[in-house]
Amino acid sequence: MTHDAPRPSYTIRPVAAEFRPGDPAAPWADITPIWIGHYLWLANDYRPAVEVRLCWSRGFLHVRFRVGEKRVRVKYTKFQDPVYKDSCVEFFIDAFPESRQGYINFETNAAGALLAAFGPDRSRREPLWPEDLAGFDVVSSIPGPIDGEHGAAEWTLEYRIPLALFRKIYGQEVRPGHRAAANFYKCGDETEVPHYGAWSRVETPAPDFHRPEFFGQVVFG
Amino acid sequence: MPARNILTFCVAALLAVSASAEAGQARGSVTVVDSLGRKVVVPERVGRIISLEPEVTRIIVALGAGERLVGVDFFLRNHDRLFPLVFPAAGRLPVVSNQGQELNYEEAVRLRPDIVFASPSEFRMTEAIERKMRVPVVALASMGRFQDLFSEIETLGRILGREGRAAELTAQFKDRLDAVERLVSSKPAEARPSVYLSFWGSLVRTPVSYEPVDAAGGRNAASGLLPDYLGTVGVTISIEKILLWDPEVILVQGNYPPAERRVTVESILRDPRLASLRAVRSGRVHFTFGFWYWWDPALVLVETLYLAHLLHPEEAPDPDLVRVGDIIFKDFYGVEGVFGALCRLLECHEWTTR
Repeated sequence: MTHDAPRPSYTIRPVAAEFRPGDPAAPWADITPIWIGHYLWLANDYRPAVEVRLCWSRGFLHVRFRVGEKRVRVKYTKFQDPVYKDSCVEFFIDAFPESRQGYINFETNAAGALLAAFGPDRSRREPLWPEDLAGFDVVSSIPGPIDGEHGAAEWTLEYRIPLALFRKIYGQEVRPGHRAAANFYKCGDETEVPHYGAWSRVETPAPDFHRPEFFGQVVFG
Repeated sequence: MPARNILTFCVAALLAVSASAEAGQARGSVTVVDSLGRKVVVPERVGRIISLEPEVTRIIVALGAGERLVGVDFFLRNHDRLFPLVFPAAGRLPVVSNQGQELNYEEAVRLRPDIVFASPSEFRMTEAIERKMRVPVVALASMGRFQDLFSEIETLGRILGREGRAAELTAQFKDRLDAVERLVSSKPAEARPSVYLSFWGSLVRTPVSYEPVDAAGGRNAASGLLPDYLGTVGVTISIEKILLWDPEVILVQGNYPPAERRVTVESILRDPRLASLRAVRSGRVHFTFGFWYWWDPALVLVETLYLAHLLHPEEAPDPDLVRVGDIIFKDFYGVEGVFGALCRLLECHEWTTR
């Protein structure tokens, strides 16, 4: 009776001025959000509202998450730590899907600790190195390790990815009108209430975010 | 254009539409995308319907397919004051869910539905029903957005073979909504009053989005907050937050009979914690209708007109709400005098005779 869900699409708005994460003059209010709308696999009814906004400039792809969670867990603080066990948001992007090289996973806990790798699937992934990510900046409203209430109804996380990273990995340039494949996730494997949310629905029987066949489309506007 | 002329134009636009029914017709199977983004294939002829989503049930009736309902949900049967007025036959239909929104599978199977409509807020139930009953389950709701209400009406029109009537309903709705929005379109942002909405029987529970307020030329003070969880538009805030926002207008959900209202205009006006608010000092605290398991499509249109008058009485003078409301309901449901009867049930004469 049901078939695969149609894949969602989002146009990433271009912005003229460069800005850093956390800049109060950033144009986020003018950017249309998308929502992590599918909580999958676990029947615990924990469904925090997660809004994602993206824009891109001459040098960077900017990503901003707003997460409706009063209680968070942040245990990991170092680059390439298993941050998906903490209160975590993730952005997976195959910037040039027609080249069939693979996708990059950016996984960040609520304090901004990053895990990032590149490869075609879950089993074949190469961790990114700090030098790959020169120019990557991240800012979060959660300053560091915590387990419980953080004093507000929501937390925000914002980062910018240098477009040079895509050039380096794929050997190609992102241009206006370019179509990439991506998905956005919310998870917390070892949080008080484990959960798995996705923007583009993942049609697998067990938790698995590393399924690029279920990515949606993002268009560089 | 003088205000009175604009009003005349508005009411004329409100009245210049009429309802007509159409016969269903046999077609090939229909594939629809529901509010959860699922593609669902439904049979070519949907003759027996169970609806667990009140908003869907109301639209089914407005589409002229109410006679195909074979089961309805607990809320609609026991708590909806409006639905018996527009579809009295619902009183004879079996109730297939309990107060906790759980489906009585035994009863549901006995009713041999061709399709079940569920709420997208109960997303696990959607798949559980489909798996257990082996019938198509479509999760639909506007989730409080006009555009999604139009999509919902159109999707139901396709499923029920009532595309023409669905197009008519959405065209009527859009025309009337446009007419209201035009009344206040000249208002700059700073002239649109900030509005706090006390909904769901709680002073501190409010929707982060309420499009009738926007359409009527107001600004929802809670706009931009995240909802408490996915599938709702409600957020629980603090009294301190309301004091910080200092709204110019407070709207209280009054879609309950007076004896069941836990928050009232009077209780807010008398609350010493709120005495400093601009809305309280100026007496701009009013009832409105609000969500009632999402919307009744006719009622939200009447509400938007009412709010335009409330927020901008100069631009949107008294619209003779009972008369216009009765016309809107007649066009949606083909029944006379519904809005007036609802006003009497809810004792909302103080809203309609200001």
